[in-house]
Amino acid sequence: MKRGINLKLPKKKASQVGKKSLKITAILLLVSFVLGVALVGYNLFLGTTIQNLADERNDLRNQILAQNTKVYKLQDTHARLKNIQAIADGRLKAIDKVDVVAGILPEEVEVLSIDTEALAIDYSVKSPDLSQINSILEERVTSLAADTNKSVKVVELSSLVFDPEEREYTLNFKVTF
Amino acid sequence: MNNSNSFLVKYKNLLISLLLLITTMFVILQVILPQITEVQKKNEEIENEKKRIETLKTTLSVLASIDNDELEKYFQLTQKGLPQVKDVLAVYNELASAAQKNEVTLGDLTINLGEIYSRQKKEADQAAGIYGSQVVNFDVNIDGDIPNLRRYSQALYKSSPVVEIQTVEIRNKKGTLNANFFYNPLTVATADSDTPAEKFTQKELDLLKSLEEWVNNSKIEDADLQPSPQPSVSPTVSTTLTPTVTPSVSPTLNPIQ
Repeated sequence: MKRGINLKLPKKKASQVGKKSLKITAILLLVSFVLGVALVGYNLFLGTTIQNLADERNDLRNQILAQNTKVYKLQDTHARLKNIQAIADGRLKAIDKVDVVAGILPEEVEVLSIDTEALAIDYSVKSPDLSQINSILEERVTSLAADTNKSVKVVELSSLVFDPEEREYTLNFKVTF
Repeated sequence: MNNSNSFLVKYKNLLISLLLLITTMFVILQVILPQITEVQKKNEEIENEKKRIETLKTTLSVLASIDNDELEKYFQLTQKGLPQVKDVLAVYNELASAAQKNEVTLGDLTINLGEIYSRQKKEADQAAGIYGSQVVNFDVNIDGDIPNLRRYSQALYKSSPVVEIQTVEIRNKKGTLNANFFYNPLTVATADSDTPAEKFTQKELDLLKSLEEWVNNSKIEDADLQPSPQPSVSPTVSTTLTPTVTPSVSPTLNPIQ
């Protein structure tokens, strides 16, 4: 007696499997065919849509081109304004601050010189009255430095000179913003 | 022969199924997948096209919303604030009119023909948002009382063309200003479907208002200067060459970025 696995399908069973697989593959082919045709159709529709949009874009572009001078002027104005703003923002701030320092000086004090560079101002003032110079040193400069709105970083007193002939005091100081 | 025939008969359905499966695979690989890729591409293209159309429509509506006369006025204002060419006369007029207004006497005006192009300067300018602008540096001597001289340097910041003061030295009723005058050659501008035209922002309108005031101030002063038989300005204009000339020259047209 022979022993082992019988690999042969029964005749009836084989024909049933064949029919079933034929059915499934036929449906698959049909579905893929329909899907393919639908995709081709959809692609054609998209192609037409793109063409229509391109036509619309060209039409709009032509309308804009007809106003090219206006476009140029608008863009040039924007560009120049941007540059002017940047130049104005980067301008020497010390110029605006000259008055801030001048504002603390007593009226009797004579300004000898003002030098501005970047964010620093060198001031040189003269007065025959020592109390005026003292008031600058002790009160006014301190109150200026303490005022946070004026954004003073450093106040440097460079020199205090007395001229015995003229009997006048000269105070040199530097304010950095 | 009989054996093979019986095999074909026996497995006919399975063989046809195999053939159909191969055909299905062929349809999927050769038709469906390429079509799906194509659909994706076309959808992207449609999206891009719609964006471009939207941009162009925005540009058109912006153009329609801006009055021609108003735009012309703004255009002229910015041309005066930042001229296209090295207009030394405009700068001189500006200096002279500010001098007259603030009761100071304008002395020599020295235009320093130094640095024509510097990569460092260009990079620094671009970092600050300045594109394509070029600079003429000059020294100007002024005489007058210190408060007037002080006011004069401040008045220059409220005048047109735009001037940037580098240093101010005021000593014994005499002052020297070192300043930069800016100009910007013609900008290249075309209708672009990727960047829409923009309306003027409030900040820009404020700046235009300031510019208008500056230009009007200069105009009044210019008018005052014309009939004056003895203008309080010295007509000496000299040019000096400083040794820091760099050989490379910037391109004439700098597109605004």
